[in-house]
Amino acid sequence: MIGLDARTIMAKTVLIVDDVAFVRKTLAEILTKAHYQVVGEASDGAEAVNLYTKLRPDIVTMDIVMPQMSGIEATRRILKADKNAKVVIISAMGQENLVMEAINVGAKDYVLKPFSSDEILKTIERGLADEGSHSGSRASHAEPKFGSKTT
Amino acid sequence: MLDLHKANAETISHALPERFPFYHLGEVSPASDAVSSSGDLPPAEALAEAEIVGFRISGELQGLALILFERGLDLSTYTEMGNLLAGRFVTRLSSEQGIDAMISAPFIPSEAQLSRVRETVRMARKPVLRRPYLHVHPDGRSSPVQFLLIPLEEGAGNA
Repeated sequence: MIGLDARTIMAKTVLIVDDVAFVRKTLAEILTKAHYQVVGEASDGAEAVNLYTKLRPDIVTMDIVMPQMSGIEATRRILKADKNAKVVIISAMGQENLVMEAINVGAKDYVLKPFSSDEILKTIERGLADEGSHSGSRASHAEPKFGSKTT
Repeated sequence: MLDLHKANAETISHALPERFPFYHLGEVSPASDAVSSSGDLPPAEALAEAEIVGFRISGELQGLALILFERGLDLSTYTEMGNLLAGRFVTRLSSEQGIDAMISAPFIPSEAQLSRVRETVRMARKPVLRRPYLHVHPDGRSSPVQFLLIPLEEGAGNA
């Protein structure tokens, strides 16, 4: 613990999941600058599930369209393994049926690409602050707290 | 299920993306309002000189999106740009025209795949929609990007 400042000690941990290295790098830079700790990166849904199990991050940022396994399926499996997992979807596609599917599998939020630093940080903050929601319960809420630019 | 050659090309072309920001790297905007339609891919020599990223389109619309950009640019960065172009296209198809389609993960088409696509397009005389874009960097430089939409038939196999 010597040499660590309070912000590092208190940092929430993030697992970044996206098949494009540019996006992972961009997200990592934004989150690290805001004093989050990026504990892992995955480039497909299967790797995401494996890393979640090993790392148990405070929150996961998840793309949808990826090789091996989609982000929706990966979210479903992560939440099945850990009902308190927090996953926010970040996707280039914003169709209503995709947003609804993300809600139904238990994602905390859905952000459209391209994202700004503010959007991502606010989304992460909302996702982390939502301590009371559990997998499957969001679909029954009258108004899910879904964020920017959803259809 | 629609094929690009059966659906009104003009209707489909209206879903092509307009200007959008590209993260911290400037913005992407159409270089022209016009969307051209031709019966062939660009010449093989032009394709050979470009970096190409592909996205399969599936669902109520079947096709292939190809993003062409200059060699020497960062492949990952422009793969994401292609992801945004293709993703925004299918999102607009859904929200504005009620056509439900998805894009695949990006892939780099081989020469053999491009040859097969060219053959399919020529034989079936399908329209290839093309819209040029410009990536305007924060320092004012611009890089041309081309967005091609190519119809595929069901069962044509991986293009």
